[in-house]
Amino acid sequence: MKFVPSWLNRLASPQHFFIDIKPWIMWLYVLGTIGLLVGSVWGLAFVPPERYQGDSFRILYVHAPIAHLAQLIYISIAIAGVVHLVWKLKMADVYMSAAAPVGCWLTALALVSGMIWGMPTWGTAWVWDARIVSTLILFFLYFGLIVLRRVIPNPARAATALSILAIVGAINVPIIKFSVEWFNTLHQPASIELFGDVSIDRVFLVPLFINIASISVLSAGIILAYMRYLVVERNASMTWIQEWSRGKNQ
Amino acid sequence: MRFWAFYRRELLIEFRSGVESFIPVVFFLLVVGTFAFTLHSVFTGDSRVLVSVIWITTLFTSVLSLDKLFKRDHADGTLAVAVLHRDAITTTVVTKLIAHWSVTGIPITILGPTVGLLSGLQIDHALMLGFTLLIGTPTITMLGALVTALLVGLGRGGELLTVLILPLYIPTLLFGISVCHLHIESASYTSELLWCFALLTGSTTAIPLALGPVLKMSQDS
Repeated sequence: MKFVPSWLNRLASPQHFFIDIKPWIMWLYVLGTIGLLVGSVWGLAFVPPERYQGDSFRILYVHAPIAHLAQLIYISIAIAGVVHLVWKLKMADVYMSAAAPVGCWLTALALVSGMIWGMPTWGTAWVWDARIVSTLILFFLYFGLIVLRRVIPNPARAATALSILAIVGAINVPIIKFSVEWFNTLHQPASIELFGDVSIDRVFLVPLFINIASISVLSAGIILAYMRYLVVERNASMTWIQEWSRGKNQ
Repeated sequence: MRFWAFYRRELLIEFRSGVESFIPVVFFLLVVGTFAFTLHSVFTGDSRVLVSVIWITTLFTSVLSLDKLFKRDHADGTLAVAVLHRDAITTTVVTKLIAHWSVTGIPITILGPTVGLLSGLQIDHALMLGFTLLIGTPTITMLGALVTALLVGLGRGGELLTVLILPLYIPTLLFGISVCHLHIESASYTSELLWCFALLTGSTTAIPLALGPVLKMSQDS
């Protein structure tokens, strides 16, 4: 059964995860921060102004990566939910608990940066447009996950409940995509498609992709650090944790 | 055979609780009435507003009535016994949901278009509203039951339930309302209607299978 590489198999155990992942977090932080600085400075200072929106379009380099990641993290939580329900991996549950708050914050930031962008371009901060409303709903979905985790005292039950809610909620995420076509509204249609013509010039795209990549790396670092914290919290009674903390204190 | 026995039991319990079983219907009328009174000319003048208000009130009524869906059975141990029979749990739960839909979904499916007609909705628009409610309310019951089952026995309900359920209702709501709006505007609504059916078939086939394990989990802990 060589389905899973052995290093990945190793990470599924809380103990090995806790020890193996430690050196990676610092690298993810460093890489993410440098990338974010490069991408943002490039996007904010060196890219030519856009034809219609002038300089105000530059918030794209903050808004789009965040909004992208906010959706991506929700889908990843739903996948972790499936993994939890099928294989009962402990780390899947830890991932869901750690990623939900991060996703919630990113969604809130996406909404706020969208509002700031809306003021000069649309003349209003908030429009009850389909895509904005879908993002707002995504925020509520994240909020629901965090609250559900808190109100269920039994950890095993909380994990299963969280997986189910995340999977059901993931049905909502495609609506964010489709709603752009369903309702013809103020919002400009998505300009980047994975397969097909890109409607932005390449000059604008390079810093955007740098920012998308580096904010993903940075968030991965934050989520992993939070996961380590949760592992300590949940395994506090285990001998390996106690040995680790004793070794740390010496 | 077992189905009818369960179904009869559920309905009997519901009706013998007396005036309590009318709460969802009265709530529905009260909320729609409040909207109608405060929005007055907007409400009666624009059929689209009317249809949307009736649809949204349906969602709120559903959340309100879901709170007690598993409460009684959990309190008196019926749920614990049902969970013990692995093959019986799905039948029990499906029967329970059909009974619940019969006392909340069907009255609203009839009341919604009636209120619409009284407020000046055209008859074919009212029929379309009734039809979307008919295929939308089972989806609403199913999704709501799943989230309610996650919270069985926690002693939490009310606003927590609302916060968890309402975002999940959005697709059903959007498609239901779009069909009615497009019909009122004499536009083509086929794809939206097909989406309504997709949500209906998806939720009524998948969720009953998930409910058994979820309820079992709630009894284990």
